[in-house]
Amino acid sequence: MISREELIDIAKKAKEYDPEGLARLFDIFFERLRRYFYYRTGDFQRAEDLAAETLTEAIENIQNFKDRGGTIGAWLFGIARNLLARWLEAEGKVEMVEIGPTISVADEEQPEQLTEKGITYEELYRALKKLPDAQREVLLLRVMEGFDAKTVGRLLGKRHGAVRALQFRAINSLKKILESGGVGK
Amino acid sequence: MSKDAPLRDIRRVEKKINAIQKGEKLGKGSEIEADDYLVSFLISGGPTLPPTSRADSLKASLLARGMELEKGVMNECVLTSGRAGRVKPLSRLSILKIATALTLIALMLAAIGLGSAYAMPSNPLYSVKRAVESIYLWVIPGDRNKANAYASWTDRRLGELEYVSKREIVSWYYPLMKDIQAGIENVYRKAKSLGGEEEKEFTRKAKALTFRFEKLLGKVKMQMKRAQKVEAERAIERLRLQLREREGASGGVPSRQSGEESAPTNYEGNSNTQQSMQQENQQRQTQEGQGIDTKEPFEPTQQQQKEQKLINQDQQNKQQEQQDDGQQRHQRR
Repeated sequence: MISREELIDIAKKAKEYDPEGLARLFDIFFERLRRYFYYRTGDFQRAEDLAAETLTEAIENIQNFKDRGGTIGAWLFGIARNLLARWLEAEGKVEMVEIGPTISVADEEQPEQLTEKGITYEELYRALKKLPDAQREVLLLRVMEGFDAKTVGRLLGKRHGAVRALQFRAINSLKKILESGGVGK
Repeated sequence: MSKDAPLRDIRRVEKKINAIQKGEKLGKGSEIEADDYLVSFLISGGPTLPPTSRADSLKASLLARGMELEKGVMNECVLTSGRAGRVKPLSRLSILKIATALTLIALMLAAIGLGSAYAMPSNPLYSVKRAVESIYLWVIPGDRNKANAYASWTDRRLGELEYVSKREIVSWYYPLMKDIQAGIENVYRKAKSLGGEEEKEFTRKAKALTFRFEKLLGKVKMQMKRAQKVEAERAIERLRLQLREREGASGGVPSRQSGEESAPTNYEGNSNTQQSMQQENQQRQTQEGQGIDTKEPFEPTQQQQKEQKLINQDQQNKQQEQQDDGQQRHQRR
């Protein structure tokens, strides 16, 4: 977990185009952005491109960023959402693309039950794809990326109460989908 | 899932997410709920994605872009170093915000300006009304327009004096009296500078205003302080003198009693003056018909003469006392 102070420091250094700051920004956010884009597009290549594009666009506009106490992450995901919307529009709103090779999760840190089941990222992608758009966004941003309900509300243009209700429904729906095994192609 | 999910469950899930994100461990046995594992799994980032081979090259290109941008900023600094400061162009949103703010301010000022037009002395907006008048006088070009404005404002002041006298707001008598005097004098002055027919026209207006002023002052004078009363009489004297001078200079302003041009000339906002002059004419005509002496309203009465004598005596006494004091001091030295 990256501390607020560290995020403020990274944003400050990135504003000065300090290579160390930019490298740190990349290290922290590239993987998170790639994951977000993957679960939205289902395409690794595209996810990487979009993540890199998000970071490039961010440093090109970094002087417009006003840090309100470690908010650079939310700002980056705001850019990511805009890029994704543009991409979806250009692609005719077709989100489904070819799924990459299946890799099972056998991570020791992950909870036993799930590792036993061996949920793969492609299964999770398929399960997430079955959720309504708003619920999927809330799960990705609020639960997986760890933004608080207010920040997610701001990103999605919803009240934080609505975000909480959405996350509750999303978790329940996802659990049902995964339990029923309805994640096939 | 039903849309009206119980609030309690929503809060429970929210609490759970927050707790896991903070690094708290899940409970044991029955305390662990079915979806805890899923939430925990998702919070940990879900399944690990396959590593990317392009990460290093993408990172390098990002750093290179950063260096380019840094150079660009440096060049911009060199180019703009001679200037006092670089002005950042305003965004559309900022322009819209500024325009909205300016429109609101303009609307507010207009509303206050309009609202103050009917404000009377003792009203908080009265000072705004006077300020608007001053600005108007300062802005309008030409002696004729200025003379018209002076006449108009003086007519307003007379209305205000009438208003305060009805409500017996004594503190306003003197300031309004001074304003009216200054206003009439300004009309005379502007009339003089205009010359010709316009001079006659504005002298007539000033005359009408003077008569109305005299009449009103007759009502309010008794409530004034002695010094103010004296000053009021002097003001009337001054105005009369000016009227005589103007009438003499312009070959005589048509008499109000001649019937031909008895009504005062038209200018904006002098309807009260016209009415009062017509009433005055009628009164005078009826009084003359009844054989009543139609003196000017400010012909000093015996009472006033006595008061004047007393004031003069007071002043003489004071002067005498001052002289005596001076002599005593001189002797002591």
